[in-house]
Amino acid sequence: MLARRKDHRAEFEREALVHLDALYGAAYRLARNPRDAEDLVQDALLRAYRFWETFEKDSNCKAWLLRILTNTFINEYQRRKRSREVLDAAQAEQNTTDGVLHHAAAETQKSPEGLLLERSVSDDVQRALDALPDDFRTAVVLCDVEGLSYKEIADIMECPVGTVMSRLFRGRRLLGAALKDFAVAAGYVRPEREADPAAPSGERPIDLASYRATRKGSREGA
Amino acid sequence: MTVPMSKLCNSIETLAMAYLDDELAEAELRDFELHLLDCSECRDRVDGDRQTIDELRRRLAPPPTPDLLRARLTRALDAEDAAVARESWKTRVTRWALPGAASLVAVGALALFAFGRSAPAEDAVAQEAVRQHMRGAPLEVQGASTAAWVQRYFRSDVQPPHFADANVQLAGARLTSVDNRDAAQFFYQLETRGKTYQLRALTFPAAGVDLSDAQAVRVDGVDLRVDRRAGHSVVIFVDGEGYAYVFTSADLALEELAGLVVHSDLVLRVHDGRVGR
Repeated sequence: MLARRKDHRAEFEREALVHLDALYGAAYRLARNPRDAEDLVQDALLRAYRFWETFEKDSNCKAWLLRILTNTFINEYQRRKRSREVLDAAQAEQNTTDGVLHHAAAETQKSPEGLLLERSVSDDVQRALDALPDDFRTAVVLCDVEGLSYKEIADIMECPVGTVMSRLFRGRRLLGAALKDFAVAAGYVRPEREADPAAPSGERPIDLASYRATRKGSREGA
Repeated sequence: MTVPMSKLCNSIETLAMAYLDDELAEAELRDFELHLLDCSECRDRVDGDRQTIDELRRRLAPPPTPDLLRARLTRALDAEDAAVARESWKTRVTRWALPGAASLVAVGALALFAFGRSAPAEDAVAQEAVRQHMRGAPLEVQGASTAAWVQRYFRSDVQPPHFADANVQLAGARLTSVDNRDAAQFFYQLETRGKTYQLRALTFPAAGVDLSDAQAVRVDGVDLRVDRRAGHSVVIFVDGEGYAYVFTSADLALEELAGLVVHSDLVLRVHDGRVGR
């Protein structure tokens, strides 16, 4: 039993721990701050370790681990974050009645320790990412941080490839727009008139499948 | 040009993204690159998108993994190994409660590492149960009349399993078959974490059915078999009357599903000694 356990551990370290950088990278961008990111990695890896026997050894280990990590994030960390937001909102309301009018001002009321624990406020991209819905943000992190294919992301998020594409498309567009806003606010970029990136604006849907269908149709017709 | 220009221009948002993410098939890629040679608007669009994505990726690149995290993980795994060595399964129950399981009934321990695992067989019962789960066949009976219906049309001595977790509700049932024998499939919904999860139980007489493909585990003193198939957790319980109950869920982790099963009345029926095994 003990020897078996040792093999088990060695195998886990050999097969799973080699993906630590990937897990940390995703956790860093998913979680609210570096400390939460480390907790998230540890929780996900311990969970993976407990269920190592259920992992089918010839399948994609990195994707399996990222799936555990994203599920842990969505189930646990987001729930915690939401409860914190309720408290923050109550505090913000209190501040409003005290004459502090908007959330940005409330932000500066945090204690110095709180600010240190938060990620550096100059990290615009993280702020923009934090503001995205979970699904968009997970898709962007898995694609643009982890470099996974649409198919791998679809497997991890348990949704169709078309859904991955639209989440990724909208997530990136919102991020791009937010980064532009920050640059404008900081005076790096002159503001330009542009449509609201979140508004549907009658655009065509992001859909490779329907493109493929029309492509096939036009070939057969030709 | 094999594809009319307008078709490619019409799909430029999709195509530019798939192109930049290297997701176009070979023929699509060839058509698209030929199109870009001729269409400056689409070319500009691709260039603009490329800049945005490159910039985003550059800024999203995470810092290196802290060395201390590696040390911390080693310690956590050591602690886990030590705990496994020290504690019996029963006393470990609470330690196995995992994130996300808090709202469920106490979660059972799965000492999976203690068992070997053979390659999954395609015709295994777990595989069939997951196939039937995914097929999404319609209910033949719904709501309160389910138990009576199943007893009338399936077996008079079968009761739909009832879970201690009040968040799990029986939605209905249908008749089906497994391995050339009649079976009933129960549909459940679990409301937790503000979401609704689907849970199925496939029931049939277990005599002569090979269940050995799934791993044998003991959770809270209850013998189960567990498996993972196509992203679904599978937990099998054989009751004192010789019926197999194959529980499947795409949403619940194995330990969560096993936790529900060992806290169902199926187990109590056996443990009350109404029928010996």
